[in-house]
Amino acid sequence: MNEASDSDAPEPAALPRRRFLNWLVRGFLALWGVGFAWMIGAFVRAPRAARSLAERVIKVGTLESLPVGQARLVHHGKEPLWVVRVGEDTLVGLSAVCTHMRCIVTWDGDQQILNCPCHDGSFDLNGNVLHGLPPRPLKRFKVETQLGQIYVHL
Amino acid sequence: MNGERTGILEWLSRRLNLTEIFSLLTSFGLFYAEVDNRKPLREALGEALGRPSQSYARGPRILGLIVVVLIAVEILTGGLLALYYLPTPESAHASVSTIMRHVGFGWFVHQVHFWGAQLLVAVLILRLIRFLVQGVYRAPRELVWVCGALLLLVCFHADLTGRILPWTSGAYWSGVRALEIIAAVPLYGDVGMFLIGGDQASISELTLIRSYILHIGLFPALAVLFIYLHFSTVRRVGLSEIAGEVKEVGSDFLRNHLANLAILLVLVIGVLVTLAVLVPTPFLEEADPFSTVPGVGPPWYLLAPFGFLELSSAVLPSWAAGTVLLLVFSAFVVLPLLDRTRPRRGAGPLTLGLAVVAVVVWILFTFYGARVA
Amino acid sequence: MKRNAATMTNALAIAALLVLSAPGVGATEQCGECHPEERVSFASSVHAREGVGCTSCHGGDDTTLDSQSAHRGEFRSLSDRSEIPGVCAECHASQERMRPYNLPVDQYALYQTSRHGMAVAGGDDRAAVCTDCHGAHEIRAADDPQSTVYGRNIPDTCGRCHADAALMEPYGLDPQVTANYRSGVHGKALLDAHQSAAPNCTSCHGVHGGAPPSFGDIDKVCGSCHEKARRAFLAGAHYEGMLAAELPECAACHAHHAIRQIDVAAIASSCSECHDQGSAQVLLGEKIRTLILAAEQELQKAEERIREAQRIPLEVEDHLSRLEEARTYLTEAHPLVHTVSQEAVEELTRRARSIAEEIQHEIYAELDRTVAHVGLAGFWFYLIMTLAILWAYKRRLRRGKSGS
Repeated sequence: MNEASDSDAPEPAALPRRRFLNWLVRGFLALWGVGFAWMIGAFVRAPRAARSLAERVIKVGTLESLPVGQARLVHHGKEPLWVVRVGEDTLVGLSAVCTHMRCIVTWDGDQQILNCPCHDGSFDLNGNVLHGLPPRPLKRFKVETQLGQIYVHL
Repeated sequence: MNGERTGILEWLSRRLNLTEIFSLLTSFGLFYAEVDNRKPLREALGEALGRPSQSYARGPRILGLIVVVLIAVEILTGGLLALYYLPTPESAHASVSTIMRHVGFGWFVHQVHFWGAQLLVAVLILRLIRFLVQGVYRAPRELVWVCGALLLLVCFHADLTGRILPWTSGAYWSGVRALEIIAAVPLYGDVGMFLIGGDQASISELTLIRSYILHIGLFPALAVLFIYLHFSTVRRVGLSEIAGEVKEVGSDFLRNHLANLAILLVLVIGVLVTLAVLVPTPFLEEADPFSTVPGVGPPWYLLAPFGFLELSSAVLPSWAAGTVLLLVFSAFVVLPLLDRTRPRRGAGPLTLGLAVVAVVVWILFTFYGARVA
Repeated sequence: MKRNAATMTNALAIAALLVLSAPGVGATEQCGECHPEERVSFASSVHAREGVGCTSCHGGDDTTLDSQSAHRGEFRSLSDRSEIPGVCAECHASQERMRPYNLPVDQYALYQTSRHGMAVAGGDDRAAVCTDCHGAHEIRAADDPQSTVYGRNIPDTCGRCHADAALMEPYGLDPQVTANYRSGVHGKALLDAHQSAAPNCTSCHGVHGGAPPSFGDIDKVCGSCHEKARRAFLAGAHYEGMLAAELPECAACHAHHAIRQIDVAAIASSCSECHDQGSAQVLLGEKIRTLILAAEQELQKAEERIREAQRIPLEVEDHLSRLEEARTYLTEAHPLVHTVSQEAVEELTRRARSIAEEIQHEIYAELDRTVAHVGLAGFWFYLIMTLAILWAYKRRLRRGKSGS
């Protein structure tokens, strides 16, 4: 099966070319194996929890129903989140679960910050910790509007 | 390089009978020469190759090799599908849907598995026709025929049990039809219904999981067994002669044979891929056991028995029609015992005539069955 | 012995007296002996169940079989129909009597404001009194399906007079009203489809204070159920226009009793019933119709595409939920037709259409098999190259063998 051990004696000048061709051919044929292995690997790899759109995106309401400077608490399963309308066209979505001891933070409309009632921690509109015990910033969610409706991507 | 390889082989051969292990490979189509297990590997191989033999990856014998390749493909794709399939009525459809939509190349593996099965059954049928026409059922090759016939029946059953697994509306109702046909045959039908744990009117959770177990356990094992027996008998009695065939010796033979094998493999894969991409079988909505889908018939290879049962229901009681089917299939399997004329080229004229009639009748009944489905 | 016989006779006499004096059929309610039909029909009524007797309405003496003494004193035969409402009101306008049953006590007061009541008060005794609708003796509760005033039976009850051409002629009232009602959507819903929520005569005309709603009030009556349509109507040009032209608002297009549902496709043709052909208004009607029909068509196309995709199979749940959203917009657009404003309708149909178009576009892209076909072609190329290599190898083997 080894072409190099063929009985034909090659001319000395053609040897490198013959060898190059050999490797080319072997590489070409090896692609079968590579392609095969790649396909099987892609198959065996468990798919990402490809949940339906309904589980990945939540409709929060209409843009008109959330005036500028106000926020709405969205209940979704065990992880509530705050959707804040920062400006005319900008909205921000932040997890409502405090990173300290997992209490639910509240929205302070006057100061435009999120307060945690348990140990008096507070977060700004980017989720960063302003003061208090929370160790990490709040998780951010992507919020977009479409046709006047607000959607949050989980 | 060679020294290293010899070293490893030497080390192993002092601890294992490598020849015996290698001969297992030959039992599944690598080549069919009988290998002496008592000799060391190189010697045994050299001896086996030294005998002139035909490459059976040429001519009509490729049908057999295609069968082996297809069964290997089915086992591989089936094993991959089994990583995701859930065999209960509630989750079957959803799990297949996940395979089709979310798993990488899932749709491809599924389609290849389906088309591989259909091709397998078709090739097995063609192979048996060739056996008949060329008289490869006569002594000493009776077992070649019997193994071939039993392999065909096993693959019928594997396809049958596999069909209902996706739990789509078409699958479910064609499965019910198939169960009706099985139940109509005495003896075999009773055993079948007993094993499958069901009644013929519906396919329960129990039936589904038993079908699954049969499909991934018993039938593949039986198929492998029959292939092994086939090659065992071929090694003992040799391949049947085909006029004008060239016999080769030694490494020429091996290289030629392996090259032929590779070409065959590539062609089979090509056909499967093309079918999978161009003619995908549709994935229908989930089965509703309370709502029959009109016009769904049994699988294509069962259309003939179905048509026969339908037609004869006017004149024969169903047990009589079922007995006819039982006798026909039994005669088909034990044909070598029925035709014991002396070995000659080709089939006996009576057998050939009967076979032609049988095939024509089968085709006619298939059309009829398709019409009344 | 003698003493025993005397005791027995005494006992028998006492027993007889007791039996005869026991309350029930024997001593009282003797009216039924001469008036058996009335007794039978009264027995199944709700009044009889509650212990109301003949004398409660008719007065008189019900303990005697003697006609003279029975019909004496406070007896009133109630053959004068104008008496009847007052008699019924003696109990049914009394809060103390009705409180245990939680029945309203305003029927009599309302009745007196109604056309029926005012006619009777004015001396016309052909107008309806209580017994004409509720029955005289066989009165059943309103929620009893056999009652004459059970929802489904009301058109028949009203029709007893209002479908009688001879009776209605002096008043100039149309005797076709009940027939019209039956042929309309409300009638069909109530009587054929057995939808108990569908309106009957009293739903729009009032129960005891019955009077047809006057011009300017019709939209309020219809709007008590068809809220959205009414709000849209009030916001549109039709409201002022119809008031000025003294047209009966909703009934101008939908008819009074033979209520018809204006099919979307028929919107433009119903406009030309009032407006001139080719006028701006009719053109506007056609515009609105086109908007809705086009949106509906897009939705249907999207639905077909989704069904196609399901067979492949493709993930369609997202598309299905978006389609539901589009459908909701379209459903909201329908009552907005009453605004006769293109902008209002278009705002919703535009959203429905754009979603439907998006769905189709996305599925089309997913259905696109070009990538798969190109991939297949590439694979075939690769396959043929491999076969060429293998075949060249075989040729070399053969040449090598024949050479050596």
